[in-house]
Order: sequence, then structure tokens, then C-alpha cells
Amino acid sequence: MAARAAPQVEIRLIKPGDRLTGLSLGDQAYAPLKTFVQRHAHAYERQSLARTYGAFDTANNDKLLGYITLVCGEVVIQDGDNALVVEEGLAYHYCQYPAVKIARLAVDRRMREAGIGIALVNLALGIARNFICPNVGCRFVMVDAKRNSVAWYDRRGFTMLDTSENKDRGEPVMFVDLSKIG
Amino acid sequence: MSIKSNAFGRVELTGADAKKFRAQATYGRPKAAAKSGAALGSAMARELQSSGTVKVKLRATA
Repeated sequence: MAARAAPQVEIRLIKPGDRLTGLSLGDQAYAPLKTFVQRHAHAYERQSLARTYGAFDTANNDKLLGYITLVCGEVVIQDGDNALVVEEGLAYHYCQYPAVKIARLAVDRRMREAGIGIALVNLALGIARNFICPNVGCRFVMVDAKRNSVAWYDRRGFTMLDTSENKDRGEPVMFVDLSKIG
Repeated sequence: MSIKSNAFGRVELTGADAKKFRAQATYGRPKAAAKSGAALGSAMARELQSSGTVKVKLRATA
């Protein structure tokens, strides 16, 4: 079968008037991802509840090929000593650690091997590292990975919280520690 | 032990999960893929900030 020509896409924040329909995700399990971008992403944007970056096919009427939604989040460690941050002289007595959460990530099933998802996750890491971390403070990028996406996130450099309970979850928690990636 | 996580919010860890997370965050080494991805993403983020869009050349798909 002949290879499908690779379109050049533009990734940008969604804006009013963008058509966010037409994503084909293939599996019913992904229906919430489709519903979110079609019905809710614009409102979340207006209300500053989340930021959604779309990958648009500029040669095809800005057809949406994938998207990622980012939100402010946190990691809360409830029990025990609070020694995550170890540094001589540092007094951090809180159990909350600031984070960016990848709330949604979806790529059209017909474009899954094209690199859109990789580009969107790289952009999320870049935004967190270059803009959020230096200006606000942010330690982690977190994601609740769908089970069949765990290996994919692992290849992107995310670390699985290595406990049996987490591994048994339908959407295991994975993270990147921004303080360690330079 | 317990993990509570909402896609649009916090990750809450207790017990063994909290202990393991502390250990991984304190002593874990960064993955090369995270470093290279963040480096590529940083250039993309700067392009996004300066021009409002990031142009991405995709791989051809079957």
C-alpha cells in the first residue's frame, strides 16, 4: 500500500471559530476524548480552566488531527515524612508539589504513526520547562496514562509510579521530574 | 496505600504509593527521552510564543 503523504501541521492554541470536530479515534474507550474536544474545549479555554493545543492540517481547511490539553495540577503526598525535596538548609514543610497535568491527549487514528502525539507531548514538556517552571514554579509533568499508552509514554521519558496498585489502575500515574531534565 | 488522581487536577498519594513516589522523585535518574523531548519541546515552545504557531513536519504513514 502506498504511503500516505505527510501533511505539515501547525500546532497552536485553539481559538474561537476553530472546528474541533471530525477526529476519528477508533475505539469507544476514547469517546470521552472526542466528546471533550468537540463539546467542552472551547468553554474550558474561555474560562481559563485548561489550555488546549490543536494540531491542524493547514492544507486541509485546518482539519484537527490531534490535540493536547494541559492544566495546573499538584502532587499531594498525604502520609509520612515529607522528604521528597532534600537539600541542605531547605525547609519545605508542605505536602503539595506543583505540577502540570496532561489532562487530554488524542490523535486521529489515521495519523497515529505520523508523530503528532510525540510533538504534542514534547511541546507540553517545553512549555512546562521554559515558561511555567521559570515563571511560576513547577516540579512535575503528570499524566494518567491509558493502559495501552503506558509503553508509549515510557518511550517519551515518563516514569511509572512503581507500585502494584498504580500498575493495576486503569490509568496508571506517570511523571517527568522537571528538576532533573536540565 | 492509595492513589487518587483526576485527569483535570491533583494526584493524591498515600501509604506505599507516597513512599515510592518520594523515593523515585528523590533518587530517580532522568530518562534520556525526557531530556531530548524537553529540548525539542523547548524550541517548539519558543516558536509558539514568538509566532503563535509551531510548524511540524510529520512522518509519512502507511
